[in-house]
Amino acid sequence: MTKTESQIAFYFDANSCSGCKACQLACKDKHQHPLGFLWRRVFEISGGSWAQREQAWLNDIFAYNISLACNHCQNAICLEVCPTKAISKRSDGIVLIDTETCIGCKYCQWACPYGSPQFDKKNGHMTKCTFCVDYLDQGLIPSCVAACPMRALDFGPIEDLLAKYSDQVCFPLPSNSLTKPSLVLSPHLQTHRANIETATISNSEEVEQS
Amino acid sequence: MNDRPLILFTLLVQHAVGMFVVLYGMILISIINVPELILIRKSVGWYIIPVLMISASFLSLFHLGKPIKAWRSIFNCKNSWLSREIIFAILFLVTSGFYAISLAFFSYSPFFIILFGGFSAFIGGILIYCMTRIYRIRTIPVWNTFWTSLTFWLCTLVIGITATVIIVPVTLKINDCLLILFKDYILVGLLVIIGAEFITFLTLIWWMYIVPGSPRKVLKKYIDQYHFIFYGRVLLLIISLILCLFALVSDSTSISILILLYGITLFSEILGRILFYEAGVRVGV
Repeated sequence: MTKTESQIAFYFDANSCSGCKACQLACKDKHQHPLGFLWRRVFEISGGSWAQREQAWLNDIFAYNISLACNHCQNAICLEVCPTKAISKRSDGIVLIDTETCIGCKYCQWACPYGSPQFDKKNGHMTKCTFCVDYLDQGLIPSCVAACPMRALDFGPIEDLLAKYSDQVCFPLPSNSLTKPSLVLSPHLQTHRANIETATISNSEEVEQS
Repeated sequence: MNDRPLILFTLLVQHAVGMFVVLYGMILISIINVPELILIRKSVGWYIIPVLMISASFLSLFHLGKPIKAWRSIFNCKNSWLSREIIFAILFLVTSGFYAISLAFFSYSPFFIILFGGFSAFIGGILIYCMTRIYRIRTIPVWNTFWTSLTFWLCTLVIGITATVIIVPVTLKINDCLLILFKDYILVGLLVIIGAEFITFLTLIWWMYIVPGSPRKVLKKYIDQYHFIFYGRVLLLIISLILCLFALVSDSTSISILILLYGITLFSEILGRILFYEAGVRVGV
């Protein structure tokens, strides 16, 4: 695990998220990404069906959203596998890609369980969420957090976020033990019904990696 | 994902290492008790190995976004298996090339031939080991298994043996020597290795079926989208086994049967490698 002085993290509340994708758009706008390029993506999870019981129709349908960017993991697998040392972790825990050093081998993209690193075909290197590091250095807040109208997103030192909110893992996210993501997540109330057999990512075409 | 350069890179490197190990084994046998095989020292196979390595390295560049900066890939050998693979690929290219030149132009002692050849074969072995470790990523369950290592080693051996047994007789005219003395050993060896590949493949499929999550997702993907490649791989493994058995029981084994066996096993390995890369489904999103 990479030791840092502190660890900055995102907070996401799935109960508050309405799926408006303002965070996705704000990120795209701030970093001037071309079409099909998403550092922050909103996953629409849904499942369940209708069933007839005697004369009545019952449903167990559920749906919720997960807004996900790079989680700047404490045990960042991208940093571990990168052959060029293009990926580094700052003292505040932010994981960054040096696009000059990156050769675009896409090994980090294979390994990241959040699908965060994305290949920039035009420039031949990997890119990913920078936590709006330029904004943070000026004392501003990340564009995705600022844009969320439901206040479903927040950020701060991970210890503070954990003290303030509960943290759980929900479908489709992997176990935290894999990479120790810096993401504090309040799952949706319906999350307990979702697993790989019962739920799907409804907008997989939209959020598929570039 | 564009995996074609990686499929070509891995198969060419496995050809090179497999051929080197088999040729080196023949050199050892020639020194110990089969003097006719000393001609192996002049085999064109030794020169093919560095050519294969250079071709593999060149083709791997097509996978990169910035091929011109490929040299940077050796910088993280402390942590990254990809860096280590590149370093050992370069080392193997140098040692195998030097060994080929030494065998052809200098009259070195058997001690040198055994020791330096053994060293090069060892480097080749580490190269294949690094290659298998690249795919043992903890976030990709199907790759992060013992089967990945096993299939890479079996593939290296099978294409190494089948390629060598056609290159050596064709270029050295020691057809009789090879086919009479070693026919049974070679074919039994191939039967065992291809049989092991077949069993490994079936076991992996069974494991994918019983494990929910991404392994089962991969199996579904094989059956829904890659059924021709999936069933093709199974069929070609069976044909290879039948061909080995046929060659083993027949009185005379011609070079054409060996060429056919090489063609079928190579095609089967290409299909296997396509399926392997399609199995790279990670956990999470």
